[in-house]
Amino acid sequence: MEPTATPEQHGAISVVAVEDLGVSYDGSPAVERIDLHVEHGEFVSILGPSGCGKSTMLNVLAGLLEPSRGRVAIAGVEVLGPRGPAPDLGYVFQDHRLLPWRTVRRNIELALAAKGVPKAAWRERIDRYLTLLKIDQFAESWPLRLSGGQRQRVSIARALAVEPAMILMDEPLSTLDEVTARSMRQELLDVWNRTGSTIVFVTHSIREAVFLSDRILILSQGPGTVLEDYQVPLARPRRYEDPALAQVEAEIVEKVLDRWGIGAGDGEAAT
Amino acid sequence: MTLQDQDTDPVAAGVRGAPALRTRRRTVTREAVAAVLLPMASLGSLLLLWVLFYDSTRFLPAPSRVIDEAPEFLSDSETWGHVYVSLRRLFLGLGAGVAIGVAVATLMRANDRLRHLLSVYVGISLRIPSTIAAIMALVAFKRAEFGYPAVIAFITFPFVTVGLADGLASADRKLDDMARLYRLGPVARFRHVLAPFAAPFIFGALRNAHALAWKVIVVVEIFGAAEQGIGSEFNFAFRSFLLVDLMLWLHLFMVVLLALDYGALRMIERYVGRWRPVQRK
Repeated sequence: MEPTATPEQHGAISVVAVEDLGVSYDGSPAVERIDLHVEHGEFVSILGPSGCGKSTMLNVLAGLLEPSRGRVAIAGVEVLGPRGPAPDLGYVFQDHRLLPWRTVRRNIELALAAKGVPKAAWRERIDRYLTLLKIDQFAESWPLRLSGGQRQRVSIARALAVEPAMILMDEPLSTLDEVTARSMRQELLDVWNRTGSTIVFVTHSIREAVFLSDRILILSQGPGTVLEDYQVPLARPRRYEDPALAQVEAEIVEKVLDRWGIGAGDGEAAT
Repeated sequence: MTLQDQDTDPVAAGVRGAPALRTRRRTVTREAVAAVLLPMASLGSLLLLWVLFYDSTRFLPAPSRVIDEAPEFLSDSETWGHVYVSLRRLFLGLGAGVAIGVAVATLMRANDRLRHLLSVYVGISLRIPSTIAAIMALVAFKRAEFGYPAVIAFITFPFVTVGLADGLASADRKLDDMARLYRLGPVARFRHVLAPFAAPFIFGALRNAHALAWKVIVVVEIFGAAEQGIGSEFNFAFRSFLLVDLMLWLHLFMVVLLALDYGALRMIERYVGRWRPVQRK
């Protein structure tokens, strides 16, 4: 496995700077010695099997969990956990987590209000991001009247609308059917291209990670450590069905086959 | 083009198990009409029984006599004065019962020791018959006006507590996690996440408590020998053997109760729950 890049190799302040991160629960490590740097505008996936500590790492990045060791900074501001200042990020969950009793517009307004965005700016900003996600016609709709894909787009719009330094996405497409997910992956890339957002995307799908990402942080089985900070060697734009993509996927599967303890390579992490 | 998927949304499932997604206007209209006509038909059947069999009873007055005296009864300001007194006592007692019920449920959820302590009071209050509570209130407060809403609050608060506690126990923490992630403050989290989630459970408990409160207020007014209120008029009519008056008060009592339940309460509940998808049967 290739070594990860060291902090000294990063010149300007990274949007995300994770150094020697360790998290333990009751003395039992969940993640150990994680290093990650994400530059502005990068799309980085975190790939690992179930139980490797991806959620733990996300919770630390989101400021919901205090690290046991190491340092985490987002946009130069150290993330200290629940008692520290809120990190400047947007979050897209695996399930949309929209408040069903508030319309699409009012769901996003809640996030903007909490971020301190002036009320005069709300309408324009919400309309802009809903249009970008092609769901502007649902601005006054109740979330439960939308399809799963539409709700997830609202969730992405909410994350974008707060215009954060970074967007965390926790397996946002895993609950969608394959056709919808495939469409959403392409739209996600289109949105990323147009907004220049910095995205950290958690997935257990190797193919999805290869399709979407500039780099893939490959974690080991729990307690999670970094197996490799993998640079995806494919030019953009990419096609999901591209044989070159399948080849890269196969290479990664080969790398992790034994380390993750999975059987015949199927592009998916062990469950 | 996205696929229309079957909704197994965990949030929707967490809120009273609402599973469905599709809205069909024609079905909604037919169901709405049935929801009004069928209860009216049920009430009509009771009136029909009265018309058909009143003269088989010993004391039940003829419907025609009651209808003849209804206009004068309804146009008498004293009638509505008594209704107002009972309503005031009911609203005060129910309001206090809901407030106490919500507070107790919240405290029981927050702390195990408080839960053990308060569950005793909830249990006692649930099991005491309303007539016993009315007598105890009479002993404690004599005929003080405060006693009437106090008894209603005492009898109704455990229903709100239990209903709300069950609801909060099923609360999906994911929305709370989202609120924390987007850094909603505690007031905003209560107002926009917890309170709307709890609202259906509070309304469900409130409807039950409301129906019970009406039974309690009449009993309390009778046992408390109240000089005003619907119960006092029931008492007077019964003791004076004014059977037509008794029937008039009975009908008025039912109309007021049903108007509040099916009219006000359910309308508010429907408005508060307007975000839900229509359930397709």
